[in-house]
Amino acid sequence: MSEILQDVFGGLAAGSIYGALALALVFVFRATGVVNFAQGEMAMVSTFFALSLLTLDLPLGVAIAGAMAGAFVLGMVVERVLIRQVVGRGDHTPSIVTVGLFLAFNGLAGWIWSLDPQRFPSMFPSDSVGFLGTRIAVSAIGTVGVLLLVVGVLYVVFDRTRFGLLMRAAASNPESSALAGVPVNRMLMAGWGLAAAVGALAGALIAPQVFLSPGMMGPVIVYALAAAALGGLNSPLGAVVGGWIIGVAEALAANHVSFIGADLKILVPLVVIFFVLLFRPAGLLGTQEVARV
Amino acid sequence: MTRFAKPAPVALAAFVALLVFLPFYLPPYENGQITLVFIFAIAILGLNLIAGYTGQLTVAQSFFIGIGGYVTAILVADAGFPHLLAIPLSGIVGLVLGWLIALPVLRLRGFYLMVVTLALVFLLSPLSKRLDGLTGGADGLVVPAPAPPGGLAGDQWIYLLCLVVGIVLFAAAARLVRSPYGAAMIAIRDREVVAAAIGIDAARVKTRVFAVAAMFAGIAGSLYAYAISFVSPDSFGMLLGLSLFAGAFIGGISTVGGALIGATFVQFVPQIGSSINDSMTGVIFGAAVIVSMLLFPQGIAGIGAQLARLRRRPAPAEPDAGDAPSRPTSPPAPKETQQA
Repeated sequence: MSEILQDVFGGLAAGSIYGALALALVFVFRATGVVNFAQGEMAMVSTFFALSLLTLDLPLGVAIAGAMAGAFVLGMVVERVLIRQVVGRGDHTPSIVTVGLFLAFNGLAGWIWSLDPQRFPSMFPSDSVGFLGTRIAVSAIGTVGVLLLVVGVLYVVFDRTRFGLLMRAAASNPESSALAGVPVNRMLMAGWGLAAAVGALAGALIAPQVFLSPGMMGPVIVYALAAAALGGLNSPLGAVVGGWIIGVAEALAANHVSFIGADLKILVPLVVIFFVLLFRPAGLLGTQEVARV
Repeated sequence: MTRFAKPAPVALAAFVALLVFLPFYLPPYENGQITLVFIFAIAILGLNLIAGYTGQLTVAQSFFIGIGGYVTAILVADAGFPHLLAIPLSGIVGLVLGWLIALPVLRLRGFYLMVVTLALVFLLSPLSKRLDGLTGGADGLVVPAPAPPGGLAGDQWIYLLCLVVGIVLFAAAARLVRSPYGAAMIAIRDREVVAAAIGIDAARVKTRVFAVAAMFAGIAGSLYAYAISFVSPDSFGMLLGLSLFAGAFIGGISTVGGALIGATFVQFVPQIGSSINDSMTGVIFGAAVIVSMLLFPQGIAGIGAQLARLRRRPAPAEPDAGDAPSRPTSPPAPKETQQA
């Protein structure tokens, strides 16, 4: 029992990271209708940037904040320079461009930094605390806490500020918002920037566990995409819940299904997606897609 | 350019004749390189059918190449099957597996297929390590080369084998897209709702074309096993999958010549790139596919048609021409879906 409880907590921690990246995917999708397959690679590049800041003897908190700021700029530049040129063409062009970005960022990281896995410090102490007869790592509690903090901040920004109102207006109806004086283009850029900053945080959270390398986010983006699909691609709350479900399912499958084990965990998001497709194609908290002829 | 443009028969015959005679004048190393171009072209041709003609994006060709490679290695090295029989059998395994995977996914539109195929890209390596009793695990499997008939050298025989298989599959693909079935594929790509309204079973067509694309990749994987004489978990990873995807679009996703151009990229860019830095391959492919989508969305093979259209209509037809310097030559599919 305590073993299962431990898996659940470990799964919630990992799931919080998937949820953070899934949140980024949802923001980009809501703002521009694009699924950014390069979201994980942008997070990986941002984490390498944090590592470079660390080598300048900056404290970890400052380095991560700097990486998030850098990611914000990166996200805005990507939207302004590339995505805006191809959104609205109506075909698959934006998806193809983000796959191109995936390859480009992956290669650039190996070129600028290193292909070898690097150690990245954790922002949490490596202690654990007792809970219901089992030990839970402080880092697990901290990771879940960071995600909840991010969700709280984003809720306040989107629901309680003028900036958030403008963002939501630009995302839900660009034409009318533009007529009403909303700087739509700037808002879409900010949406991409915000998403990239949240992604950078996800990168800094996962790097201490898996080591920092260009390939670090490859499987993670699959988990995040599955989390977003499970929660509903246009639902921020769904992304978080979806991330937790995927994380817990992954931890339980890895430790209790012998065929999956530690190596074949990538089967978990695949199975989850098949279940979503069979039973609830719009996701748990998403809204049904409507086709217009 | 929504269908294969028929190339001039004389030019096509001359090109094929050149390819047939080439291996007798080139050294074995160059023959091996061109052989790999043929193999990648077969995999990209399958991708063109599902992505270019049916409008369903997938990055999993590397997964099915890996499946085909392993099936061939196991059939030939362990079970003693004849080499030539293993090629169609690998294709059939790819066909069935592709159909089974596509069956639940392609009932719906949207990004699910990309997510599932991206997961497959990362699945092959751990799966082949887990099934190490069958696949040799991390060490991989050695594939005995087929014995060349007549007076041919080993590299010439594999070259010609891949060329013949490639010609058969290119001809089959060209027939398919010009057939009524191909018209149904294009209708699904351009207006899925309309296609369904005129009686096309979109889910069934998409599932079948995905299976055919997987079959092409399976056959390519079988030939790959013979060309390299070796399969291992790391031969068919993320970089191969995304490079084939990028190569298909750079070459021209809805053109026949595009598959060959894209395959040339996939084979030679890593060699040129790695002379600068091992990570250059990804940078070049990523940048090339983005530039291609911005400037010539029909790929290199479509540039001619694009220029011809420009010449026919010299006046700037689009008011926002400065913003989007080029438009897809296929009928612009409207933004059909929105979140309610």
